[in-house]
Amino acid sequence: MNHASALPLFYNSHLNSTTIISEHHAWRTLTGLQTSDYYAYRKALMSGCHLQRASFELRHPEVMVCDLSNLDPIYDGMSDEEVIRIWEYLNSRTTQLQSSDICKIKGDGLSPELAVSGPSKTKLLDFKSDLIKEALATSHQPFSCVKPTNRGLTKTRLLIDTDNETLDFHNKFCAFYSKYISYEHWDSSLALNTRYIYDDHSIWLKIKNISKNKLFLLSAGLPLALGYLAATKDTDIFFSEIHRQNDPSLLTRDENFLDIFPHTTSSNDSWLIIDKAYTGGSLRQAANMIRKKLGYNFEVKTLALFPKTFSAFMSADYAVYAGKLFDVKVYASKLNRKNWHTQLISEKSV
Amino acid sequence: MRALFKREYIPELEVSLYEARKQLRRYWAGTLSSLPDFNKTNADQHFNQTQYDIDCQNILFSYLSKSRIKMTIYSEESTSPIKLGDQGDLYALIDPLDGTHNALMGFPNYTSSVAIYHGNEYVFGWIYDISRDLVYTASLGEGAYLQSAIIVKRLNTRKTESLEQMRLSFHRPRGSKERHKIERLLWSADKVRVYSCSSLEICLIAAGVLDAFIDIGSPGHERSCDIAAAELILRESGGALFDEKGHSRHCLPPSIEALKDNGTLIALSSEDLIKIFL
Repeated sequence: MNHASALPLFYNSHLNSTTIISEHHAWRTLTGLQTSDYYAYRKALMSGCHLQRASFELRHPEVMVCDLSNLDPIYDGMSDEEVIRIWEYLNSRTTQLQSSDICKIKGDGLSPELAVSGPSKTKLLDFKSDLIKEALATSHQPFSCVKPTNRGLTKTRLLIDTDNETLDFHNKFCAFYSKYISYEHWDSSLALNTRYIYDDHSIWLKIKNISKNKLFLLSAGLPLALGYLAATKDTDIFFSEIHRQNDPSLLTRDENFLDIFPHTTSSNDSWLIIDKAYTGGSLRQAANMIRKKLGYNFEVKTLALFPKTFSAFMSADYAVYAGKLFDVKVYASKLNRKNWHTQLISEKSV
Repeated sequence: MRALFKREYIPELEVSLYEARKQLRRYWAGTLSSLPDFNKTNADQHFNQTQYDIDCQNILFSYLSKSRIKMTIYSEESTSPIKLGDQGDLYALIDPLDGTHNALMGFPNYTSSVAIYHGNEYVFGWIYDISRDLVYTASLGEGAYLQSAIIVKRLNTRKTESLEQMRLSFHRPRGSKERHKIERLLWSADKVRVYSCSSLEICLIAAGVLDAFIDIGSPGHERSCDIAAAELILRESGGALFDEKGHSRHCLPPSIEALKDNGTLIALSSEDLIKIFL
């Protein structure tokens, strides 16, 4: 028996030693390990350990009731004032929620999003539908009098409703990325099972002109990048991955993807990092990664998609909010921390 | 694998079929891949129906019934239609194991085939190449696709203009006149490959691997239940199907007749190629 490979496991800070006793097998007693770190668990399996017992922590399903940073198409025909009035109505109703089944998702400065969670997705969707109907019934304005504008980017385009170039790019990416996903998780991996991508939107062409290379962060970045590619035909798109807290995709991995796809080792061109942003931390981390990997002799900008906090908006170079592209430095002085999320509804795009 | 299409009912059916695929794959890994079984008598190979056909049918029925979509199913392995739910205007024509003799021989070319019929036309075709874990699928007006566990490829037939460029597959004819014709084709074609599984051979035309599949020995072997799903996949990828006289061939709607309507078939990568075969 080779003990040498097992030895380093005991020095891993993510592992605790334990004793396993089988009462029904003549009180057979042996040592074992406990960990909540997935990679430590995988490494232990490779060293010959057997899984004895597992505990599970599951996250309730959630539904976005209304997100000012990326509004549903039902708001496209409304005036700015009406959008804000309805959002405020929904905010008030969700804040008052006292049901044990449905709770408003809370957070520090998560101003634009009104989201709920609970044990049943069906109940959440029914709740949202009823609440929106209730809010729309309070409206005094006929919506059709306002010229429709796309106040959000929707993800309703089928992957197969794209040209061959987009489908080929998808396949090349998936062929590469599959090596990081454990075989038993291929059927449940979001990246390997894309059904919908983001729809065509005028904003994609504006984004195309900001920098030469566009870096999208996985896994949310794949349907975004495919939507961007289908709309612009711009093939200067890249992927990377940043793992932050509570990332369940780590539970499906053979190894971590810490590179850039397609692989590149140097660059003289400008980069734009594009990602959905709650605090902007992933964007900053990705910008640092690009500089560290490729050097410091080129421009790296960040674009926060649908920023959910004031700091996420302010820390990016560009932001997409309510279907509009903003050059952050132009708007920074106009916004106040308390109302920025409603102020941006009325501001004009780049 | 993921659902691809948007036509009403089809995404739900796709989800059920991908669950069935996992069970068919398990059945392949545990049972079909171990064939041939030299302990069994050769007599098994002449039965019209084997336990393998029944097992594959049970897997498909089990998962189609979980979709809760009301439909009437006609299956090669069943003498009467099976109704899922009381009402509904969806019909399915399935061949749970096309290529049973291949399976018994251990020759890894066999499929499960499901065709969905709605409003006077076939609207969805799904063919699972069991031993390679590949799905060929099409929805009427939405195109034909090849799916692996990782990729989705849009299917387009290969464009060839002459017999000398073509890759052929065929079913052995019985009559001397047809044998003569096939021999001439075999020696003139660029490549010849024989899979003995017509649904798979038609899908390979759709995928641009082959250019033609020929079964011209009257009365022919191809029943609607064998090729209904493959027909939609081939037409959606740019191909065409004819009988030995050059008339366009269309599968019968799901029915008892569709389980026994043996006919001849010339499946081609493009309509124009039929003149080469007449």
